[in-house]
Amino acid sequence: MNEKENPNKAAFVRLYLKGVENESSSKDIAKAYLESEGVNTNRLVVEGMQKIKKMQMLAEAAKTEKEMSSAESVKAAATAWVDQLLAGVDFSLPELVKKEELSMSFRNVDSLSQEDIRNILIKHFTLKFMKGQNNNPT
Amino acid sequence: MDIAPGTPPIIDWEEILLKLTAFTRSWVKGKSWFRGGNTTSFIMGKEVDDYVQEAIWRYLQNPEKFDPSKGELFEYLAYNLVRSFVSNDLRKKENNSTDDVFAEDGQDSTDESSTSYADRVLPYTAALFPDDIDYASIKDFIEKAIDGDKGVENIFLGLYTYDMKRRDIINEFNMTPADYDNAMRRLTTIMNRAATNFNAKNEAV
Repeated sequence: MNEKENPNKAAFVRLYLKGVENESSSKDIAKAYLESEGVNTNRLVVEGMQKIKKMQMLAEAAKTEKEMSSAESVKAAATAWVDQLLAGVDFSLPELVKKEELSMSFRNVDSLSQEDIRNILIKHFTLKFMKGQNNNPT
Repeated sequence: MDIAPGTPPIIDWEEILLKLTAFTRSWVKGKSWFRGGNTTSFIMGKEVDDYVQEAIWRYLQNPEKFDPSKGELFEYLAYNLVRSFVSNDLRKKENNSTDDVFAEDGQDSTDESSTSYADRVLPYTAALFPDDIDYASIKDFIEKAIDGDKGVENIFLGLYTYDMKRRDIINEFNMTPADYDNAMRRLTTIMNRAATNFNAKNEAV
């Protein structure tokens, strides 16, 4: 809206909006307004709250599904990253342990199998990627 | 206490439901006032409750999009979400009787603008009203209708002429909140009548 071109409209719209805002300025005022419009507010609240509870449950379920899906994709990325690391000709476990500050977890490194090392690294990088510390390891 | 975006607030859903329904009902009324006749194309088969539920559902799906630094949750739901759903319907070709068609944001307008939620609603409210109406005549009509009703006169003066806030008008004119609400209700009735009268005149032309 160009206020300069149509100042009367702009002023009217502001006045109209103030009226709208006033009708919803508090719970009691909103209720009184709705009842003056013939709305059954008791029914509105009962039915509305039922719908909100249902929506809350659906939203929570969707969020859980999204989180699980997200965790799976991060784990897949971590797995691919670890496999690439292990396949590298210049891969050095001691250097990686030092770089990633994994010394506490690798006290008995010699007794770990290749699969153990791979699983530990996948777990480590999954957590690391999830924390966003190294989403693009290069 | 500051609340970070995305922090789940404690929500009185009953209060939100009543206020949001009142806001939406009162706000979209502007459309039927001035466009009269066929309003079904505007609401696209939707009722007020549909806009309210849609806004709450959108919030529950992405609560992190609500930024408490820009206003209260009710304001986010009303001025950002309900506003955008209604304005999306307003963009339908058959509702195009105003130039205020939000060229600046074109798409779904649940935007991430830096302005407060309350500031965002004014241009969208303007789009509820066509341009080809003699708003000066409406103002004259209202002024005549409220003549002698001191409370309504004061509110009209404060809101229309000086763009004052509710609490400032209450203080300035020594009103109680109940006085203000009652007078505001009378003013709304008069505005409603003015709009109806105008429509009749417009159709006669």
